[in-house]
Amino acid sequence: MNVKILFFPLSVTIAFAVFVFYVKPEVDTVMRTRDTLAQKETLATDISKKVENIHALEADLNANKDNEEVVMNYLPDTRDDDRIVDRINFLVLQSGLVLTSVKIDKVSDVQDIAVSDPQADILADSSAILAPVGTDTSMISQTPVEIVKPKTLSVTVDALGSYESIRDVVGKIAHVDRFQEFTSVSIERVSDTAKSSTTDSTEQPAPSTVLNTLFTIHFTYLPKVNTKGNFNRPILAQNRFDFNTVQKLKQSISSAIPPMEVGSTGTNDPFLR
Amino acid sequence: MANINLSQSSMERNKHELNSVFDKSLLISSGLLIISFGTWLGLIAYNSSLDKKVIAVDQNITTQSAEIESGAVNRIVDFQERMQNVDQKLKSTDIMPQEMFALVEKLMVTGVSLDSYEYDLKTKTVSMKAMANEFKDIARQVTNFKSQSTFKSVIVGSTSKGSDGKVISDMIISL
Repeated sequence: MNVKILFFPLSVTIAFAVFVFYVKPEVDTVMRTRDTLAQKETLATDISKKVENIHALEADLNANKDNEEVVMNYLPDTRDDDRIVDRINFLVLQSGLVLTSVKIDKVSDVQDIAVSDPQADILADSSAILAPVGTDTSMISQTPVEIVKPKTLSVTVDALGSYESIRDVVGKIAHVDRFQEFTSVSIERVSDTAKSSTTDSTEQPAPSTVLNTLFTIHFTYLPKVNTKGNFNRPILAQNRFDFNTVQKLKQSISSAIPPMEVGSTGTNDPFLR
Repeated sequence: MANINLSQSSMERNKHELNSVFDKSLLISSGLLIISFGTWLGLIAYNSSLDKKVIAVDQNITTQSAEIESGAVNRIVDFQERMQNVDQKLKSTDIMPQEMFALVEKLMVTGVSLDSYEYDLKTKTVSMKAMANEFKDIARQVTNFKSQSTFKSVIVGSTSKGSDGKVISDMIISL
């Protein structure tokens, strides 16, 4: 009878203890696992979509290789100094100017910085990033996307010629098939001193039509972009490229330059003139 | 017929009632224990099934990740970055030197010529040294430059007559 009396309060106490120490933590674990599962399912769906998009984008790029070439040519991944010198020389001579110097300087590099792209962040919020198995996706989704900054070469050209020739060459360089920007153009009348010294001093020399021009152009190149396994890029949310920019670019490039030829090579004496 | 006493004694009746109460409490206690342990075991089983689902989804992610070629992604992202940079350049609204030449040619007044010309994109200015026979020509030239709405301002610097009798004036046009 005594055991019977104790049984009810004892069982209530045991039941309470089971709820507090076992059921409650297990409920918390279930809630956490459900959240993880929901996140991973979203991630799996997103990756599946991205895989489809990557295949579609690659096919789109393969079908438009000429557009890719135009863009790569316009904004190359290396300095491409030889092509710059070749193009400037070709256009300056074609315009009738006398090229006296071409100086190439590297403008101070902007360090590649890891910044968060707002659009990428939206994707990141939906765990739109590939995560290795067993890793916490919520942490990886905050991985910033590395933005590669374009690098610039400053090219200073010194030349002599008429105003018409200068105007012509500036217009042609502005439409060359290379990403550039004129930062300065200066034109000065060439001093008449040399000319007047050879003529009669009583005769007023006619003003010189020869002008000296000095212009600085910034040529830009963009080092190859490496995603380093971070596929948190807005473009991967699309399944095709917008080639409108390439069409506009093609229209803006009007200065046709023949491809550079190296010519004959090989000598026994590199110092032989 | 012999007399049979069917009525229970009060003591026996109390004992029976007490047994009934104990039976009920035993039932409730057992129920409580079964429910609590049952819930716990049920949750463990559910959690285990969720873990299995998570592992299955993880495997799915691994399989799909393996399908992605980083070379293809790099090519796609690289091309897009280049297009974005080109697009930004094409959208530039700065007055470029060749456009500036056309504007200056159009606005030059008869009797005035340039001695020097300097276009600077950084400061968005064009500095000029204009030459004329008369001060009036310089004034006409400045007025004509000022009539151009694309120029923010036209500032005249020193204007003086040289030994050759020509008037030389410094001007700065803000774009």
